Amino acid sequence: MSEKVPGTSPLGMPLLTVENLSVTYRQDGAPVRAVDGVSFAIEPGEVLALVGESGSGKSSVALALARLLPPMASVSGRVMLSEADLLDAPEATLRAIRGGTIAYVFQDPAASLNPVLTIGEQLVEMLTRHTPLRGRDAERAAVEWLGRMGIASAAERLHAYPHEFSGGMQQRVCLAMALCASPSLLVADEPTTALDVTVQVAILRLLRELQRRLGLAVLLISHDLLVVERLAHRIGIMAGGRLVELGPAEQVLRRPAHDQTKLLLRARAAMTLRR
Amino acid sequence: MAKNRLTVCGGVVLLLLALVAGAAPWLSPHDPLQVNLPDALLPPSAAYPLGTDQLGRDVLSRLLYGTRISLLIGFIAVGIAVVIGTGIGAIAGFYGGWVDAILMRFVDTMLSIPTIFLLLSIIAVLGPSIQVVMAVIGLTSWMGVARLVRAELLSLKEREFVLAARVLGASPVRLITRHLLPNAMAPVVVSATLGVGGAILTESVLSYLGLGVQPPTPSWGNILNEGRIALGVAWWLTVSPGVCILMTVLAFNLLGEGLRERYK
Repeated sequence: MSEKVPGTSPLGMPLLTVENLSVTYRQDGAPVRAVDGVSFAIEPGEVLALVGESGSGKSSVALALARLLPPMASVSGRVMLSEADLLDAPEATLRAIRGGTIAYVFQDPAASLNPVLTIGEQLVEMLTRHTPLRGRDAERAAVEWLGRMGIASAAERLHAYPHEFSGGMQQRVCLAMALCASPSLLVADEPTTALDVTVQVAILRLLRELQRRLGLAVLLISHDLLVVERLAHRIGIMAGGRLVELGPAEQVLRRPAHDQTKLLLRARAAMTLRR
Repeated sequence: MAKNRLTVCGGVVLLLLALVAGAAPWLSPHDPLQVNLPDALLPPSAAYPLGTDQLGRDVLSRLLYGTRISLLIGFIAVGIAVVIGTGIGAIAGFYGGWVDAILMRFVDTMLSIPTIFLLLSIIAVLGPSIQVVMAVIGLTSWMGVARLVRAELLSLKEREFVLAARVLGASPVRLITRHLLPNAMAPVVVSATLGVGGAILTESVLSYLGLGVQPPTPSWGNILNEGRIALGVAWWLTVSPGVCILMTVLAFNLLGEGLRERYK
C-alpha cells in the first residue's frame, strides 16, 4: 500500500519523507512493536492527517520524527528532511530543528506549559532560541504572536501564568510558541482532544487559517475523523502500528478501502447521530 | 490555625534575631572583646545585664556579636549545601541510569560516615576557622537536598511541559535550570530552612569542642564552651548561650515545618 505514496500532489520536492519507519519499545518483557514499516511524505503547505484508534502508533510516529522518544524505544527507517536523515543527525542539529523547522503542539495545553514561568517568559525563550530577536524586540514579537492567536489585550497577558488562562487560551499560547519561530512543519498531536467542543471548533478554525496564511505543512494526529475532515488534504489511517490506508481526504472519507477506515467512519456516523 | 501561629512565631523570632545581628554594635552595652579582670564572673546586674565571664567581658555583648557569627555560619553553610545538593541531585535525577546510580551511591557513602567524625577529621587537617567551619558543615550536609532534588526531578521530567520544552529545542542545561529546578524549589526551601537550624547547632557543637570559631571571636558555641569551666559558680555563662541556641533552632524548625505544611 505504501511503496509509492498515492495522492502525492504535484508540488515537487516533499518537505519531509518518512521511509519504512519502525518503533519498538523494549521494557523488561518482550519487545513491543508500536510502529511497523510506516512510509509517507508531506509536501510544503500540505495538511496530512494520521488517524487511528488509541494504541495504533500515531503518536509514536509523531515523536519519532524528531527523535523525541525515550531511550527504551528503538527506531529504524529513515526520516528525511531536505536531504538530511533526522534519525542519524547529531543531537545539536536536532535541537535546532525541534521548534525551528518542526514544531509540536500537544493534546493537553495545561500540561505543556511550565507552571512557574509566565506566558511571556516562555514565548520569549522560544524566540530567543530560534530567532535573532532579543530582549524588547522578542517581547514585542511575543505580544504580536499572542494577538495573532486571538488573545485579547496580549501585552497585559504576557505577565500572566498558565493557570490564569482557560484551556482554549492555553492552547492558543502553545500554538503561538510553536509557530513563532516560523517552522515549516507543525506536528499537532491531538491538539483539540482535551478541549471543550466549542473551543475545539475555534482552535481548528484558527489552525486552518494559520496553515493557509503561513503556507504551513501540518501533520495532524487524531483519533477523530470529525476533527480531521475540516483540515486535512490527505488522510492516513493507522491500525496496529501500520499505515493501512493513505489517500486524498475525499477519497478516504467517501470510498474507504480498508476495514479500519470503515470502522472509524461508522464511529463518526454514530457520533453525528448522537448529536 | 495554631500551627499557623507557631510558624509566624518562628518567623518573628528569626526576624528579631536578624535585626539584633545587624544592630549588634549599637545594642551592645560593652565591647565584646574588652577584657576587664576586676569585673570577672559578676552575676547579672544593671551594668552587665547577663553578667560577665572569667575575663570580665560582658556576656550580653558577646552574645549579640555571637548572633552574627552563628547566623552567618548557618546561612552560608546551608547555601553551600543547597548548591552542591541541587547540582548533584539535578544531574542524577535528570540523566538517570548509571549517572544516577553512581551519584546516589556517593550520597549513600557520605551518609554512612558519622558526620561528627567527618567534621572533626577535616577540621583537624585544615585547622579551625570560621571559613573552614562554614565550608565543612556545607560539605557534610548536602545529601538530603540532593535526594530531594533528585526525587522531584524524577517525577517532574515525566511531565508533559518538559517534553514540550524539549520538543521546542531546549538543551539539557536549559531544561534543568529553567524548566525543572524552578518547579522543584519548594521542598528545597523547606529543607534549607530546617537545615539552617541544624547548621547552627553543628557550629555550636564544634565550637563547644574547641574546633569551631576560635576565641576571642564570640560564637554561641564557644561562649558555652568557656562557661563550662565555671559552670558551678557562674550559671549565666552557660544558660544564656544555651537559651539562644535553643530559641533559634526551634524558630527555624517551626518556620520550616510551617512552610512544609503550606507547600504540601
